[in-house]
Amino acid sequence: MDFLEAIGSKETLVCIGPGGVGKTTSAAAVGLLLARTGRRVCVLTIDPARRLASALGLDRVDNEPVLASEAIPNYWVAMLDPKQTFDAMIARYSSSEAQEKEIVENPVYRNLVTRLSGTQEYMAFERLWELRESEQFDTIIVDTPPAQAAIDFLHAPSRLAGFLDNRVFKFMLKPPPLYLRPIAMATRGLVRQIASVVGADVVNDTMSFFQAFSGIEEGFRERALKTSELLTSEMTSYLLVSSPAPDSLASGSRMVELLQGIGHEVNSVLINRMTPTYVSDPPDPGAPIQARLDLERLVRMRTHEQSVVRAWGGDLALDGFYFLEDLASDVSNLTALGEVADAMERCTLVPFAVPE
Amino acid sequence: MQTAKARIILSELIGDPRLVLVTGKGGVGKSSVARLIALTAQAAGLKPLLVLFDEFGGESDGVEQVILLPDAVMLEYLETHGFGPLAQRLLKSGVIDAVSTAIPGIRDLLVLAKIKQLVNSGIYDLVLVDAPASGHLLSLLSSPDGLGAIATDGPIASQSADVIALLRDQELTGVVLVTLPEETPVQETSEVYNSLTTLLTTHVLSCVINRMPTLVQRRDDLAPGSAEAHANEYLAARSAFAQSQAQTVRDLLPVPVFEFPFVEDATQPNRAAMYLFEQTDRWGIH
Repeated sequence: MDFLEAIGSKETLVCIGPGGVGKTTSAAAVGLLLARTGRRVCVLTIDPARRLASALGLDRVDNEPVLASEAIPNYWVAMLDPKQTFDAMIARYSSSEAQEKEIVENPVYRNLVTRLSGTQEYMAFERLWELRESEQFDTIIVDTPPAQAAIDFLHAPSRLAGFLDNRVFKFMLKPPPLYLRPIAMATRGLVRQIASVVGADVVNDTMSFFQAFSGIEEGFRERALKTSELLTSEMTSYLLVSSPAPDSLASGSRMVELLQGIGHEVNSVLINRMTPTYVSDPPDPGAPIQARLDLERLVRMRTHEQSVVRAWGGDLALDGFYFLEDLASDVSNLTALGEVADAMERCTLVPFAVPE
Repeated sequence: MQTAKARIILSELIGDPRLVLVTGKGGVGKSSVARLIALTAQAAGLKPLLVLFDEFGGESDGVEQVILLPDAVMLEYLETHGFGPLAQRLLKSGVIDAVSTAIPGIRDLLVLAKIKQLVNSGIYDLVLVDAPASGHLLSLLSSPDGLGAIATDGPIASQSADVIALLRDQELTGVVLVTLPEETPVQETSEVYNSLTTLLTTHVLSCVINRMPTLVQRRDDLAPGSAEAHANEYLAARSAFAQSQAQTVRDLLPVPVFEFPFVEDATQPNRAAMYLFEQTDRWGIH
């Protein structure tokens, strides 16, 4: 099976993987490869590092998808702006301008937007959903942030729903039914105690946030549930991108386990930055010893990497992996990215070792 | 490793602070560098403590280490602040979860407060934090500021002020930035440097460029198109690119910059650390 076939023609392709393995560049190249088959593709990056823009030789990439090049009419790129997305979401679900204003000006909201690790991830889903709904694209490729943040990413919808659903605060906002009053009373006591530790105004801000939010949490919850479904649906596939470095592979495995935890398997594995060996080129019998040693070093490193990756993948429910060789320098324009896409098109499946 | 040599390496790398946060983009090998500094401190006759946030932390290498998990730190804080056995129930009821989701800095602040406590305990000469990836470190370090603005009364507010004071103390606290000789990590390192020094006024001690490839010169005595020629082209291009990125780091950051060599057989972080340790001559300290 070639790489393009393995990637398939799903509506959403989520690229996950540790940092520093060329994930963003790979996502961009996969997008280009799919665009060449005539599909309308959008690459959405969540990583605030501007790697996507620099891989394409662009000055910047914004929340709104833009064509990466005038020359390719079906290849868009976008970079998530979490605050813009969150503000728009509040505006959409608020029943009045007054409510919108009250939420947006609450310190808890400002914290939620700017500091909460995970907000970016919630908003990535929202953005993904919006882009899906626009029906402007056949395939959306999501380039997730690295490792730990990606773990947040996968948990984000349920966490947002859980937060907005917090019964304790609901009790504080409106009188509970009679049979629940004892619990509500106990809760009030607890909240008072918390206030004595974190400060009363923190609790007050949190309360007024829930108050202001009341009524629109339904919209949020529905959306969170739908994006959750989207992520686990048949129309979404996952590509794990890693390098052959042992620590990258180890954190890749953890992400695979997490995905399994939410009921999804990684569909394919791409190992980037394998050491190039040039084995198909003719040898130079007159080469000086140092040049020969250098070549031998590359071959030795590659052999080692290959066996490490094959053994590592033995536990995955997959047949094998695809790989790309390391490039001596970073991809910084569409031509170079096109070469990566060419290499992807050519790459073949390398089987994993059979576990003993 | 001689004590005297370890002392020189340590003073070149970090100087003489009590708290060092080691950070960098994910995958640049910051954990190995943190471990290396801890080992060097140990060899220099100091008592270091390595603080990790990752529950999958590596082998201890004979260096004392502690793993801080936000939930456990939160629980400990509540238990020792008048909640006692109630703490468990509070966590379970979800109130704490809601408050800390709404005011996420609280978890971060408690982690920082715990680190401050370790620094002030007087047990360790050096507390080395294998800090979260730089993006997360910035939000971690800015949490006391953010919380200070929100919580104006109560223990959290005073806790914030204490932690800010420690983080801004140029004598006591410093950051080591770890990067790779590649475009994205270098660019991010420069951004992190600017945020740390301007927004947080935290002292940056040095920058380590990890995994510098061996210097290889382009040769013209190889048969064109041969495997040897291609290998040389690749290695020379990679080495030249890394050199130019290292130069960019030197141009951008007004702090001491150290190059750690690429270790071909660095299958385990501690082995990599030991290797680097033995190879210190190569980065200019004798």
